[in-house]
Amino acid sequence: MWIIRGLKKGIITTQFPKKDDETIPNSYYPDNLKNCTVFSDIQDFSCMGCGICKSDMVRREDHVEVRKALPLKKSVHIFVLDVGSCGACNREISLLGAPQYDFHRLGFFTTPTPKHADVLMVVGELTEDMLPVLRESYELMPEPKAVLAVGACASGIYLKRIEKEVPVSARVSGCPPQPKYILKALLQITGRWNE
Amino acid sequence: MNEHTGEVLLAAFKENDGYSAVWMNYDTGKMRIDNVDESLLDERPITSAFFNNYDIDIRSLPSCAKILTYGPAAGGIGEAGAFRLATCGEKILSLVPYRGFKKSRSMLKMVKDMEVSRALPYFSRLSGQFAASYTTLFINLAFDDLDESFKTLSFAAVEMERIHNHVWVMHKLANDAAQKVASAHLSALTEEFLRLNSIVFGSRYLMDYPHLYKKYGSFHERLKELESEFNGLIDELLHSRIFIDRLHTTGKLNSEDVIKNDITGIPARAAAVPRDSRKFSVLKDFYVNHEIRMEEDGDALSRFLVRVSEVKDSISLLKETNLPDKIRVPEKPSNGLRYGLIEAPPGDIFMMVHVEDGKVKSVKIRPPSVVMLHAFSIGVRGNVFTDYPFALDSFGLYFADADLYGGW
Ligand code: SF4
Ligand code: SF4
Repeated sequence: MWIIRGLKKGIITTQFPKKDDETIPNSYYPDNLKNCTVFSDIQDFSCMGCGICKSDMVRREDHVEVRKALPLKKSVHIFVLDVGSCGACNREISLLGAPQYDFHRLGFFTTPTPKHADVLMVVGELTEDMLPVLRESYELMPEPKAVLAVGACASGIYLKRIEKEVPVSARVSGCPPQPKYILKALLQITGRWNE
Repeated sequence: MNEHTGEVLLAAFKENDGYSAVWMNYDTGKMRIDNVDESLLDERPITSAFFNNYDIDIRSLPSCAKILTYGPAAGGIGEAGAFRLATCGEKILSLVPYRGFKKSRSMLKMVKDMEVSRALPYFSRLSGQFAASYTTLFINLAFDDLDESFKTLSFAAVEMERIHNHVWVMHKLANDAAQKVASAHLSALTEEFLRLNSIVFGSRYLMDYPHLYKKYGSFHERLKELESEFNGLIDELLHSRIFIDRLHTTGKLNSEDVIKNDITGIPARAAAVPRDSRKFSVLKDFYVNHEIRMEEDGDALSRFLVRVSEVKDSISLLKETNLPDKIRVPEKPSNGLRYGLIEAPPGDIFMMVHVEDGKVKSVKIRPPSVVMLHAFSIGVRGNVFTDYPFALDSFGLYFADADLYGGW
């Protein structure tokens, strides 16, 4: 019986963002980026947390940067566009709907078309074939609109490529970023963080 | 049960002077590579998947047939990938994958001439859902100094990967069948497995696990809790007639389809064709007593049931595995040309790596998703549109993975 199963389990949805939730393990990052052996021009948003640089690896929050907020009082519709990901960022976004995060409770919903979207969430390294799709998706979105670059590929290593095509309003680091911090980015863009 | 499955065309690659073909015998574990001519392309339909040269044959379709492209951004695929399909409405008459939108191809080129140790993070990110399988296979082919504790850790990472992927496929299928409560429970369970991955292996998707692993004392305890949760959910779900009916007969491939099309992995086993590389893979020592899990009907339900059995097996194996206190990450490159297999969640990965002076000189990959896409294109024919998501999700494939096919 599903109902009994649900009742037995109790509430598993995080209290985040009302309270921080330390039961969700953060990702590893190096304690300093100086020893990076992967990128010559490493910066916070490009770090994959791979650990091969032999720096001490510490668990910490993913970085969130909001350049231009889009305060919205209504429900927010998100169009997710994979422009060439490895697939892991996609799953983390899907998991925002899992009971532990339940982003619907905070007014966020995904939409299958950019025509109904307030936020365009971009994941992956922009490939040639996805370039026109990115441009077109952005153009089809009604005003006002925001673009959130999710994950080290979109928000760090290949951010410039994406920025050439569409204005990036916010970004979140991580490879992949934790669902919790994708949620934080969404809350910050829409002016709902610490509301 | 089909005892003798013959030689399977595992991969074919275009070379300067023709084609090379990789053949695998799943009864004996023998793999061989030879040069073949172009006639192979006509004889073995799977080569369309390898060379991404599918075409819908309009002449074989009724005059009412229309051809549509579905994807790469919209349409519920959830990834940068697309399909071309032919229909007169209602039924899918023909469908072919349309791939090549992903980054993975450029990722693979980046590691050329890179020291093998530096290349590791790239192999972890070729295909995010199968990061442990790719990382483990690469390490086994490119390094010489793997000790027992490292091998044990690799085995555990690959089994955790099988579990989180299989449970996620189950979540998607429950969602497709509008079993919202079951689907929510299964996505919650996936999240719990990913958190356990993060605690033990340092990464939710097991990327870079050799560098991030830390012994976690309560691993077995937590695993047992999740096992009991999984068993309860599956018992419940298998009592749902709606769920069973939607999956039954959907996306069906029988054993002849499997054999004719060189299909391996879950869809082969779900059609009673025992193709499983675990006993011949780079981790074979851990699967000496492995029993191949199979079903008979070859439909989405059979694939679901194979996955259920495999999750149970993986959990049992992990409960008997003592994770090492510490590991030593392999460092000594193994120069030369080596190739091998690993059984990733949907099916096997073939990889060939050439290392010289400690640097990666060339790589060839046949990812499992390219085979799954081909299997899907056969299984979905004649299904109605509403069956499309069940058929697609039951293969557990990713375009990011399929686009890795090939080499340099
Ligand atoms: S963790 Fe990886 S990407 Fe980050 S600084 Fe170290 S080597 Fe560079
Ligand atoms: S940021 Fe990392 S997880 Fe996300 S698509 Fe890129 S490689 Fe994959």
